[in-house]
Amino acid sequence: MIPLLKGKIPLRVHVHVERDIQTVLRLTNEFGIRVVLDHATEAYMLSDSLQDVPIVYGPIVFARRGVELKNLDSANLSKMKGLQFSLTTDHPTIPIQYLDLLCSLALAHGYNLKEVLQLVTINAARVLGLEGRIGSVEVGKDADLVLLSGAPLAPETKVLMTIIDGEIVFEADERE
Amino acid sequence: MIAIKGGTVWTGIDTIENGVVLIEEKKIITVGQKVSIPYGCEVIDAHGKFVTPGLIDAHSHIGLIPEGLDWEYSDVNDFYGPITPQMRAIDAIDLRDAAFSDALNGGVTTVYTGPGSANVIGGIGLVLKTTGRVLKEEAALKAALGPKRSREYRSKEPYPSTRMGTVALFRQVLEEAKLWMEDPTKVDQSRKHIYAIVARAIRRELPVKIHLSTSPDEITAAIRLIKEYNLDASIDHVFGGDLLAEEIKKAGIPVVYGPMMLSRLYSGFKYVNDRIPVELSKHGVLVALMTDHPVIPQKHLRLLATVAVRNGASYDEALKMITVNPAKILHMDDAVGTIEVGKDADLVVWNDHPLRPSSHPICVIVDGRVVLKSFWIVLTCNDERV
Repeated sequence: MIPLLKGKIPLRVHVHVERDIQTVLRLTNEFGIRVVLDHATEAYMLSDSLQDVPIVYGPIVFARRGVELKNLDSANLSKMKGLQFSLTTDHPTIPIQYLDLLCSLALAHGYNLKEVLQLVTINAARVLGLEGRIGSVEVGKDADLVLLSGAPLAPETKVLMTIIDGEIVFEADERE
Repeated sequence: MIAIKGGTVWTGIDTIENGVVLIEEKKIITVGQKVSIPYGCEVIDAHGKFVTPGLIDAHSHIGLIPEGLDWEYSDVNDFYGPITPQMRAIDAIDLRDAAFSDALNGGVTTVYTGPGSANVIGGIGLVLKTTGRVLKEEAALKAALGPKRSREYRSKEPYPSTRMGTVALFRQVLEEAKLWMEDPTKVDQSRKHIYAIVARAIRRELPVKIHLSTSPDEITAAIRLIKEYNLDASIDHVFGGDLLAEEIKKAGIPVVYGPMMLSRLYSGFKYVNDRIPVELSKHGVLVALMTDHPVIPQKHLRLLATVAVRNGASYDEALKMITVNPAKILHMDDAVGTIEVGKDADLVVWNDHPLRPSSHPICVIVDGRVVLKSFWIVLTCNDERV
């Protein structure tokens, strides 16, 4: 608990409904703890008080099972503009290879292509406190890169190559 | 009368650029390129937009598993016993469930919803419009293969604990129903009502939906049963179907794949693979996609077809898997599934091709009635006399 109270690591809280998010904010303010909200299904109801709170939102496609998820809806994204958030598959809830597909739904809710890609690159890096190393293509950053066959987020686009730390870790079969 | 004018019309058979669809009362009365719009007709300008038939989900539990409540409120699995064909989803469905209006706003207009997979024969599902209009109260008999060993503790009757036990019990009921058909006095009189329903499946008056739990051996067993009793059946979920594509094609049995975007979370899900519908379709099998709502919310049916494109299907093929193909599998293709003269006027106008990620419905019409309209879709009155 000491690194947490000294602000060296953030507290990650699984939370869904508005009143629980309020309680998390109250508690973390009281102890001066950095917090990251996970899922945060009803965060869109509190957009004013969550301006500076990192959020890992989602999965945005999931059964509304249980009262805590009764307001789960991909359309909530339209009310979350301006918040610091990334999107999650919550793998295995939605298989992780569909992360970009979930993100692409944001295109139907008022986000442009750049904003959508930021959700799962630089925004996610910031949530993890790793924006100095990953999350954008900049000189000096880790060489983690993806080569696509076409427009990002287009259903027919394929990953041709994935590079991590400067090493090719995946190459598409040319015959396909 | 309503005219949808100027859009790219994907009819389910072909694509008409700058097309016109005319709707009178509840039906489509004209589809084509050079259509004169009658005086006084309401006009929806669809220039630069995409028009499709309303989407169809061939397998879901919408209205039976409520939104926003826990599983104990679910009405899909009754542990009365392993053979419950007398259970009817129509007697439980909540047409006020919020999922219906969500589905409607997502462009989904016709759905099958029915009992779950706890029992060997679970009951009868229905087909309805997401507006609440019931098309068939008794649309299909739900059967479910796979072991049922965990179910027994909740029931007075024994449940089969192995895959062979499940198939054997299914076959036993089919045999007893045949006996009842020959001579109603020869069977246990307290179970007559059960045999009367199963007999309708044997006479091919009631289609059967066969649920698979996890593995390809169940597909083989399902094909065997369907052939043996000449059932009018579809195989649903069909995990591992890519390994038996030829056999399924040869048997001429349609399939409903899904839910998609499922993880191989348990060892039992090792045959889950979103390439299955694409492979089966390439082999010539009639394939539809299911949300299995609430597993994937029904309003995201469109997204599942996008997943099919991601896994190698063409846009046309994938769109058929959520329109004309499920209409055929549900035997509703005389009324819904394509934009053709005489069919129900169930139409969706999209801002873009429905399988492109930025796409969403901007106008939804069911039975000729506009049920969703974006603020910038304007209905004008044609005041030009032809």
